[in-house]
Amino acid sequence: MLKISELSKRYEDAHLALDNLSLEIKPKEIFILLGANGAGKSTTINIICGFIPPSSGEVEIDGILLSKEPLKMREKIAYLSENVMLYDNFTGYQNLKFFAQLAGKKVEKDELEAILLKIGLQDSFFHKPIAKYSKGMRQKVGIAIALFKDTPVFLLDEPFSGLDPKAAYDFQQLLYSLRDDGKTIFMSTHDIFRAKEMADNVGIMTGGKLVAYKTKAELENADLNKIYLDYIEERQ
Amino acid sequence: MMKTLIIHEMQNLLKSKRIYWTILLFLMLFTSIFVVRVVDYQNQLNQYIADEKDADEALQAAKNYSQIKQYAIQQPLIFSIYNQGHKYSRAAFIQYYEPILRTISLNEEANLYFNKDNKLDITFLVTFFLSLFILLISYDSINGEKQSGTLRIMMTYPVKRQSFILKKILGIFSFVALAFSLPYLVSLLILIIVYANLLTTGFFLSAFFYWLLILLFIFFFSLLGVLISILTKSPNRSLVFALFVWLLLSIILPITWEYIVSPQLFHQELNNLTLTYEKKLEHSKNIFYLREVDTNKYNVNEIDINKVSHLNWSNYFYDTSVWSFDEAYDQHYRFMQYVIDEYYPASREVEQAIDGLYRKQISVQNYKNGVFFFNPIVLFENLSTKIAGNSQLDYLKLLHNAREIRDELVNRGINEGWLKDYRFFACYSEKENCGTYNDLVKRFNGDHAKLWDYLMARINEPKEAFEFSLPDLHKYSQNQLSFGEIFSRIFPYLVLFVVNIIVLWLIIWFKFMNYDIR
Repeated sequence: MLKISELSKRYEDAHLALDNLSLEIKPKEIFILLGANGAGKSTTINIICGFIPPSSGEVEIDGILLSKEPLKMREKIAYLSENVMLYDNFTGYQNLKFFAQLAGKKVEKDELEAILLKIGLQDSFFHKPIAKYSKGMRQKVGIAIALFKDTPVFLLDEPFSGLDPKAAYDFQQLLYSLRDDGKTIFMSTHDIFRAKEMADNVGIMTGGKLVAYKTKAELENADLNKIYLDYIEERQ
Repeated sequence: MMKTLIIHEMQNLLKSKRIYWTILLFLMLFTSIFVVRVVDYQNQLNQYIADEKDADEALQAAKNYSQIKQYAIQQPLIFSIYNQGHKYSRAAFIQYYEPILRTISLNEEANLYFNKDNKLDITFLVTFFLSLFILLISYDSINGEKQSGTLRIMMTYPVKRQSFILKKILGIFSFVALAFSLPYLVSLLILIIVYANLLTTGFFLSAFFYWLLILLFIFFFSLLGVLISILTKSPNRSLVFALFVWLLLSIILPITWEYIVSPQLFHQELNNLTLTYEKKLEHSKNIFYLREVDTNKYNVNEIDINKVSHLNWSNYFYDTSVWSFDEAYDQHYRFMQYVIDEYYPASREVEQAIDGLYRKQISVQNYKNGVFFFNPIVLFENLSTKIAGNSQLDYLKLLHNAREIRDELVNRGINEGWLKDYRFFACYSEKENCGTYNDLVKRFNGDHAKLWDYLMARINEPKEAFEFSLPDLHKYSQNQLSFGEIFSRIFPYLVLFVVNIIVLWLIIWFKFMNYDIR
């Protein structure tokens, strides 16, 4: 379970990027955070990943506190960003192997290739340098890396960006199966329609604050687009 | 984990296309330089062997003929594979003048084997471009990963920041160390295979210490490159910064020091010392050539320099106009007395003056060594000579040894009487009234062989009178430096490197712990 308690972040220039955010995301849950640019979505993910320290508040995953055991926390999270970041000189297979080794996994060639196949990468590309991959193909390798890490929590920052409709559909199904396996999925996006379709719970952020929290049941007959726009406009 | 990280870093560097050409260039540079070194080494070695042979022969000749020969006390100085041909190279031996009372100082012009061409030693190019090479592959080591985003994904794994930065530094270091060591070892191997019988333990010690220092040099510049990458935001900026740092450290600062700072600081003092030396030298020459003679004390006509000199045994024998041994004896005796009393003390003052000048030059050099220890040229100029045992201080030491031997010989010569004996110094004159070789040969009815026998017999007359213990001269031979001696010589440089590496490391540590990886 991912628990965020009264998390705030004030940057050196005094800008309050995150204001007292509290959330609880259970296993077998897809939580989607909606918000415009600068709303605080990335700041939240950056803090959970340990890229930046929070000004106050705490993050907890399965009893592990970020402030106490930041390294152990990293064993619990898999991170996938909008633009998947990989070593361009290495092949997709080599990138996956390297990060699998970093995660302390036993690396079997068959297993690695199987996971690349599973996320839909053409086998002819397994051993080609990443520099020759399209954005969608990079995204797929990124997904494979996150999957191979096999963590209880997945942090996804605009993960559908750059995927073609087929790949997006496959990825969506993959996320469902991860959820069904008991994983906690925390995803930030601009895509209201996908949020409504996929999320078990949705949060809306503006100006660093969580201004709305809607469950799937609450969203079923509501117009999420309208709710979202209302909050945005209210804030402005 | 760390092994995985370092291997990954090295593979990443290997896969980076932009450095392929650099590696290739450096491999070619290293290999060609070391091949040239091998050839240079052979030449030096041949010279060394020839010097030793000459010295031995001369020593034997001196024993046989009771004559101090030109080569008898020459020093076949240790050569170095590193600085042969360099402007600071003194592939020289110290010439022992005759008469033996003369000043002993560094005399490159008189040295037959001294390389006056001042040709550039290309070996220093290895370290010169090595520093550029290291900076070129490390300038974007951190900000490049930040820009590409791999730093962020790496930080979502249980990898400590310390481990990451260590991986970067060790990866770059290992990569460059291999790129340097491989051609270095290959060329050494060629050397061993081709010249196995000529190589000494000392050579391998020098090769080892040189390698050790270059590894520290590589580590220092690896840290510098990583620091540049942390301090600058984008790889483009850090490339410019790295090139600037390289130019600054390798070229601008040393040139500024050499042509602006150092002259300002030391010019006047060095000038004064040079003037003092030149004045004393002039004074001693004037005494020797009787231009500053106390006429109340000495009768100039009785000690004519032109009638008194030594007989050069070798090639010039037939050009020598033999005057008269008997007549020369008195001249010679008086002249030698004058030289012992007047010239000898003046000669010592010259030695002190030139030593003072050299010592000042060495201290100026030491300032530079300390300030620019990281500079490849400085590193080469100084460490190589220190390791090889032919630094300026080594030469001063040899000069002192030579003077000790001279003083010992002179004192013995005075006490035992042979120093003033004409049989020790044959005489000649070109003056007509002294007769010429042709005049002399007429006395033997034109029979050169008879004249030769006569001369030889005279010179080989009672030898007992001039016998002195020559084995002492062996202390003039320079022994190869031991491991401990070389280590103690380079110890200050090791400390300088280590201290600076620690300082750089701490700065990198502090900066990277607070580095914004987003």
